[in-house]
Amino acid sequence: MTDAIETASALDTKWKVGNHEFTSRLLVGTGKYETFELTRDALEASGCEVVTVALRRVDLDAHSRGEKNLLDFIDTSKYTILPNTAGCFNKEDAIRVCRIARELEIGDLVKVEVLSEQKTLLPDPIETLEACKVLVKDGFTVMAYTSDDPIMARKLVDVGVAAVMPLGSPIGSGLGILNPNNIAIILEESPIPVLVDAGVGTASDVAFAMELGVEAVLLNTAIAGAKDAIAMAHAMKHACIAGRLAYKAGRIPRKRYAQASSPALDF
Amino acid sequence: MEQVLFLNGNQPQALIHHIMQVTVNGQNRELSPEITTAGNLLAELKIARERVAVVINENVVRRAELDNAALADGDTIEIITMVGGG
Repeated sequence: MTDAIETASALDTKWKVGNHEFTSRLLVGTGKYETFELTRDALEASGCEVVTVALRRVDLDAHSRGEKNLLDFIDTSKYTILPNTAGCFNKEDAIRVCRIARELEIGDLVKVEVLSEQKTLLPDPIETLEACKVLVKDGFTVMAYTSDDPIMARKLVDVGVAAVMPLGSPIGSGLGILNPNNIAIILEESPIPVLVDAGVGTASDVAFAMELGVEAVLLNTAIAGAKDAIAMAHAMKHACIAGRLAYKAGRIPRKRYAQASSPALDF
Repeated sequence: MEQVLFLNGNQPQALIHHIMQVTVNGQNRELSPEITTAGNLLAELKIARERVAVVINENVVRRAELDNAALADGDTIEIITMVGGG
């Protein structure tokens, strides 16, 4: 199953965020899988090199019963771990979570996500920006989850984040890329990597995002919630590579009318 | 049992200090006298320190300082790890 990755790396360059360099352009979350075994196998099938995690209390009762946890299934030396600030609704909490993450000694990458409310889980742009400002000064390599707003993306660039990650659509919605025009404007202006994070429903959404020219795509639910998570992880891997290569290859212009592929009949 | 009696009785402070009441991840716990640092507590709970970060009264403990981070009666301790998330 490494063929696709090998083809992609032969035809493509690596991408960078901060001091980190990656071949795979798919980042995959570790939440909501039915089992840890499925989490492990889906990550493997996706070919991802970066996995996101959340930070929570150790469940002391489960631990004392000897129950397994995520870290029994994820080889942290194999994957780059991207801790998120999920569950934070203000800058103080997001900053606190990142400072705790630093003591896990899994690197300097953080995914800053400061949400506004439970119903939409849309990012709170003001709190996000303030958190990013502090965390950049703290020395983190900040990947900022944000709305698909070009102005917000510009402000995040100005405070020194390492990547902007506009949503395709709300977290877990599976609605795909709702505003490709905004993503295109963000891409046109951004001097740093742009990733689509959130909203992917199926493989074509990943291909579409990659065809827009984003550096990479981050997703979770689309794999974890699929009927067959492993098959979907494979599909996402291939869609990501397909979209990237199509972007690099350059699509033909759209035309209103047909243009024959074969020469006109001459006999 | 002896120590419980000390707590209920009118005993010297030095003896009462042997038992610490702390909150760990939201649970009230009584710590035995030999557990005096965050490092001791992780060992007692059989938690690998490579997998967690410790916060004492909202102060994040540097991993290198786990064995120097003293615990005191009434402390609120959070032991944080990585879980599934997107």
